[in-house]
Amino acid sequence: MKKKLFTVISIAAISSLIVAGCGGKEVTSSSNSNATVNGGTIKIGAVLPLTGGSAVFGEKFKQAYSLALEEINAKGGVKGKKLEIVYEDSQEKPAVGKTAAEKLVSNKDILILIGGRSSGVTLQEAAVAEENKVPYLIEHGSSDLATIGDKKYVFRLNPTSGMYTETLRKMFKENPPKSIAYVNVDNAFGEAAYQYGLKGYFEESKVPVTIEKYKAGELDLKPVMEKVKAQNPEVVIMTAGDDNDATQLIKAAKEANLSPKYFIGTGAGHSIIGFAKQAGALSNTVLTAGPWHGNKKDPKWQEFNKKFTEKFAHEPGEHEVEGYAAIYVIADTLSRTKNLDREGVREALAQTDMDTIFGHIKFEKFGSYSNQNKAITDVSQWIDGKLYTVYPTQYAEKQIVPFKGWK
Amino acid sequence: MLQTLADGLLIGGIYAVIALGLTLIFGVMRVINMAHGEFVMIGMFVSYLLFSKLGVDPFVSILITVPACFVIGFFLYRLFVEKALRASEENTLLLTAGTSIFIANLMALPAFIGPKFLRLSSENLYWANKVWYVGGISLNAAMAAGFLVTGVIIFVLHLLLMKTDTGFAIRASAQDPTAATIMGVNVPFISGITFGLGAAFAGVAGNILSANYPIYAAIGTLFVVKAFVIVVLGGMGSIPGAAVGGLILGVTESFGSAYVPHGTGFRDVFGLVIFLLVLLFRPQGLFGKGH
Amino acid sequence: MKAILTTGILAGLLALVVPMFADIHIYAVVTIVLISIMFGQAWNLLGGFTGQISFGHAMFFGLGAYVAMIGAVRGHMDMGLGLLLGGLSAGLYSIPIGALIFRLRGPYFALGSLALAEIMRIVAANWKSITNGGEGMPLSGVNTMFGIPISSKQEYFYMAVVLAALFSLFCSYLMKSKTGYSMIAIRENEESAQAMGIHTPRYKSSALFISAFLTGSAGAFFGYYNKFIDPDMVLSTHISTEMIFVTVIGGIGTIAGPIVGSAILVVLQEYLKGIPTLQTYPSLYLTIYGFLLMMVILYLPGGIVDGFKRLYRWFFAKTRHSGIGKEKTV
Repeated sequence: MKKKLFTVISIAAISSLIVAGCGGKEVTSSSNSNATVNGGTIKIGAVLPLTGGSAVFGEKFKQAYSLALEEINAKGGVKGKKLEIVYEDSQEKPAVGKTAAEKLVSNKDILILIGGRSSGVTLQEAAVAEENKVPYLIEHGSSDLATIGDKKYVFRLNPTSGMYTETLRKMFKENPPKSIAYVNVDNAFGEAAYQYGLKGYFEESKVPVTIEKYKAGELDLKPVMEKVKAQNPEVVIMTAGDDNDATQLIKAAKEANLSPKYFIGTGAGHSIIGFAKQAGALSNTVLTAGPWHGNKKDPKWQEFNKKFTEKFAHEPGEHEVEGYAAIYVIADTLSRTKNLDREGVREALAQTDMDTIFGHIKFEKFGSYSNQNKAITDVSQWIDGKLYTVYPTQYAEKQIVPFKGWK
Repeated sequence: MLQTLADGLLIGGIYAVIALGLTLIFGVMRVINMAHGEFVMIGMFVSYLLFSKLGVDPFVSILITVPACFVIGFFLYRLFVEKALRASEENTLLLTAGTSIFIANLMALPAFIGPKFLRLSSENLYWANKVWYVGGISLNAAMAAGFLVTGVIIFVLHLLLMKTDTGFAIRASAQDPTAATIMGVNVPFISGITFGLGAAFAGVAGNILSANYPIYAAIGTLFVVKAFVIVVLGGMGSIPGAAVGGLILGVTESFGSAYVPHGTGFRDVFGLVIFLLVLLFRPQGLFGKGH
Repeated sequence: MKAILTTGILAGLLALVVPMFADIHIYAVVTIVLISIMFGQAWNLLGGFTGQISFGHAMFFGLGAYVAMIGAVRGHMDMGLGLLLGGLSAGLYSIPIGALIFRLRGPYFALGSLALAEIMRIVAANWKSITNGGEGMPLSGVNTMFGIPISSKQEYFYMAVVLAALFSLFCSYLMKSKTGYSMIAIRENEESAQAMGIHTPRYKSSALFISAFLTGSAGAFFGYYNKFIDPDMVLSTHISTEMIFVTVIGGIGTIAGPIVGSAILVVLQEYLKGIPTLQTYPSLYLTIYGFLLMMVILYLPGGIVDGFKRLYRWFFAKTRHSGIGKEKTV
């Protein structure tokens, strides 16, 4: 009898641990059950990888958001209220991201969600947003599934993985390559890039294509490159989710002495400075097709570039531009919102039609996508550790240069 | 085809030296060291540290890695593993599993490797992207040098075990701990030495790999499973088994990736399939004693 | 009877108290604890009671999850049916698996299971037509559980409470039956058990089957609850080690073990995430877990539950107890 009592009491004590462990803060903030503005700030919820291997990306978005916030709040905010961002860490894991999104959503002061970044987390955040009727603006997550189907609350201003290669495909249509080898990574990003983007082109174009897959994080990619070399392709397209894979790929290409006319990456790992740093001289003349980095001839873009570089000691790239533009889209949305609640914000967001440094933002329904912006993509080239747009010609900074062979 | 063979042998050499450490530990103490991969990672980290701060070539810093891993391994064994061994084999397994997770995540703290990838920067690195050509076959220079180093290590180990007193004591402990104790061998101490040696081998592999590959805290898990496959394939506790097994695995992976359709995406599966086949048909491994 | 009462009180307490103050986030954390209890009990059956330490239980978890999700997405299968089917698939899969790896003893069994789980993960990631590969399988719409529509977090929570209680009760009941005692006998000394006339292969296979079944059902529920699965969420070694963590640190070989272990570890993890100064160390909780595992194995093999028991004995010095518990003198 005593033992049973003891057991029950101790187990009950443990259950109250559950209460203590995560009760606290949530209780106070959820007591405000009106989904309206609290005090003088409008809150935005952001799920980002603040820790873990992708923390460097989370950092980029945080910086971009803070610059935009600073500017907007300095002008008095929106409707007299300042904007504020509440961050939650996703650790770049979908299950953690889901809990993080749920934590944000249960804070009734948060009117809109952003962030996500990786495909898995973005999908989870989108599911949470849709289920709890909170508008969610995706600014980088590229999993096509997020804006496929009839979701009402999920909006995306950046291109999907499938859309990354849109401009590249246009370039190919004008100048079809003689043969292509496609080296793809076996994760969600790689699958989407192929499924929703390149597959259609490969099937229609009649260009001979061979496809090789590799495992993300694989160390020894030489066999892959040997296989590719045996096909003697004119163009080698590669998909890498992070700069590490992108670097391993090009190193393996050198070892295998693979010498096509062009090496082309499809964004992500190939479009970040980490690739140039890790691969060093090997990154020279590597191309990448993906979201554009903004119109570098636009004075507004140049001002942003200057301010950002001064403040954070590094130049902004694709992620920073997306994040900055997203905050401005939200500010614009909020200024048009009649009632500052989640439904009102959603409605106003859906009617967005504005220019940003990321291009024109308008959410449309086309193909199987809904609430998707027809974002601009480009083809850029790495020259001496910097990325220059080479296509489409109206935004090109330099002429495209073919691969010069291994010394 | 020859190229594929060469590539396979080179990576096989690395696998072999890692498996060597593991089989040594198993042979003497019947301990399955789930934390073995972490010593490879520690080796990589030491190499990185010495290269980035002092410009020391990864092959030279082996001289530091060996004592470092040895010491860590020795104390890990004496303080923790020995105790768990007295309880049961399952306990030891769980203990080393916990140790693996502990070390890997400890190194992921910003004070050490942190959550990102590190790489030896190519600017001052002799081995950066270096390829040696031998009769029309391209060999990754660092891996080729590593292969030679592995050969030397195996030779030295052989000498150690056959010609020195310590080696004799190790072999005695492996054969029969009780008899060895009676003969005056300090079995716990010798076991610690063995564990340290095994760890040191893994560390050396780490140094060699650091010349080419990125360094991150979780990289240990990639190697530990392959090391186990080799040890089972070669025969648990057999040193020639580990060497041969390593080469076999490397070559199988290389040929599998090169010639099996879609093989490149399934590279790890080849080793795992070998593992299962061995378990099914010859559980004692190639060089192990039959049941 | 005692077990039913304890479980009933605990479950009832939970079901009553939590909804009083819970929001989406708290429901999320509590449900994760309950799912951990489910797979902890399942793993414990094989690892704690039968003494076969598996490092690859994720294969059953993932198989159950995928079967259930495929059924729900392609066939609008009822969740209750999915739980059973998921469990059954995992259980049936365990039969050839067992035939393969029960040839190995102890640590080699553990490694074999690890290898098999890895193979399954790679297959799932590549078999795009069945599993949708790395992109994962999202589930939309409201689903029914034996006909009852379940949609809100609260409803999933109740489901989880019921399931966790059922799993715990079932394991408790099983361990007091002849099958259970045979399993324990095998754990203590397989040769002696055989000498006593216990047909060890059959009992090991049965234990594996039941363990796999329960793990598969837990996987199915996990899929339904998250409304999304991908190979990394349900087939990675992370899941396998999580099962081991909550059971061993909680108290291997006890029914209370997975319950206590899950509650403490999941909450600890959530708590650590919320401390701003520690935000730069995501792997901190894993470092602590690894360390805890080591300490428990060395100094408190019976886990936290054993720790409580010792505390209890220290307080009520005269009371002796007997019970199921893997207490080895170190």
